[in-house]
Amino acid sequence: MSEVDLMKVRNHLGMVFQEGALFDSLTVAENVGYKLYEETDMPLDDVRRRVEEVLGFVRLSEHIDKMPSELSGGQRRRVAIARAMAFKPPTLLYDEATTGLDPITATTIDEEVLKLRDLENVSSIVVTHQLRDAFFVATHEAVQDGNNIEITAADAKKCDEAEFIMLKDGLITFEGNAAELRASTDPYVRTFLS
Amino acid sequence: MVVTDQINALRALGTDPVRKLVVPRVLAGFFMTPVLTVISDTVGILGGWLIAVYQLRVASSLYWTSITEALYLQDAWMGIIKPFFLGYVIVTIGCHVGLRTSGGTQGVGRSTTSAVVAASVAVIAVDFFITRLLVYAVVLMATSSIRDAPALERRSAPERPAVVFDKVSLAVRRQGRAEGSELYVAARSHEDHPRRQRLGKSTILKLILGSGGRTAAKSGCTDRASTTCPKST
Repeated sequence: MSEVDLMKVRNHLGMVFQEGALFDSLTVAENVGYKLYEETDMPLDDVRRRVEEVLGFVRLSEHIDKMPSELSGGQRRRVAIARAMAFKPPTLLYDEATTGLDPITATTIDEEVLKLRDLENVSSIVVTHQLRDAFFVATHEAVQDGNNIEITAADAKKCDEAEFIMLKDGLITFEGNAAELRASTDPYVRTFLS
Repeated sequence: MVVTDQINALRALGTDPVRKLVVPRVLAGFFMTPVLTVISDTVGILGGWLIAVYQLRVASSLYWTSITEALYLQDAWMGIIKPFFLGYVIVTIGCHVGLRTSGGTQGVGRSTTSAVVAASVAVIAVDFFITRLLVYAVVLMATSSIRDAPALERRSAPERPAVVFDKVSLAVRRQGRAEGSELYVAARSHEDHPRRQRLGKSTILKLILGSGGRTAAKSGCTDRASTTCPKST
């Protein structure tokens, strides 16, 4: 596809990069609202409101005017998620979003993924080698009760909706849900799970 | 930006990195390099003045006079036109190498070195071709103007005369028969004219008469110059 056609496709995709890939010379607000500022005709006030809304969603409202260098690794990932979802894409791609983070911070990122999937109806493709985070996203769901959002264990039907694809040497070596992955007898899968 | 995936992030957000990053830099390099060249030329001339005056003990007025005498207008024009091309080349090479960086922070260092080396060589090469082109263009314009212009007027008289004639009188004396006339000239040359030493009163007479050979035999060099005109025939 030509670059022009790819740009049209990218309008429907949001991507979270491994290290966040925030623009160093812009503030958090300018990063999150970048696509809205640069590529849309949305009024500046509306852009600001949307930026504040998504930063509130990822619980970083107080960092709105900071520079990326002033944020921790986990905060940068959450700002990257906010930037990816600011223009409401139907699909989000997460490229090793929790790699290099401590377990508590990684869980925070996983919860943001669940909130986007279940509350904003965003289809998510999560690339990770952290099985712990993959199983967490597959076996939990976000539920909104008024102004409160809770992360709870998902029922079996919900768990079935999360599909695992495992790659080895460029080929698909496994496809299935979380339960099937745990029950797999493939030596490579068993090695990975252990 | 490449090694931290910011370029990919730009693409993912629907922004063309060339439009957003490269074009402003190329325009800035294209338009600002001549300005920087003028500034650096000025600083260079001032630096030369400092060294000439304080280290080489050259008179300040001599330095500035030499600059104006040595500098040709076409050199100044070439010095203004070339930076447009060189600025474009330097920035374009930097952007091209930068967008193809790979290998993390080591790759950034390698790309920086490559860009500087490539730009330096390109400046030398482009300078050669641009100079040839501009010289050819100047020669072409000069020959066409000479071919088309009327015969050049000869300017022999300086703006400021070397000699001021204080008193000129023409006396016609007749002593029974016409023996010609006498011309008395009292001349004073300008004290600070650069050719003062070579312009004596006998020379003045030659200038008045418009020739040198014939009057030289008849002119004298005294405080009060005098000569006799050839006898009329």
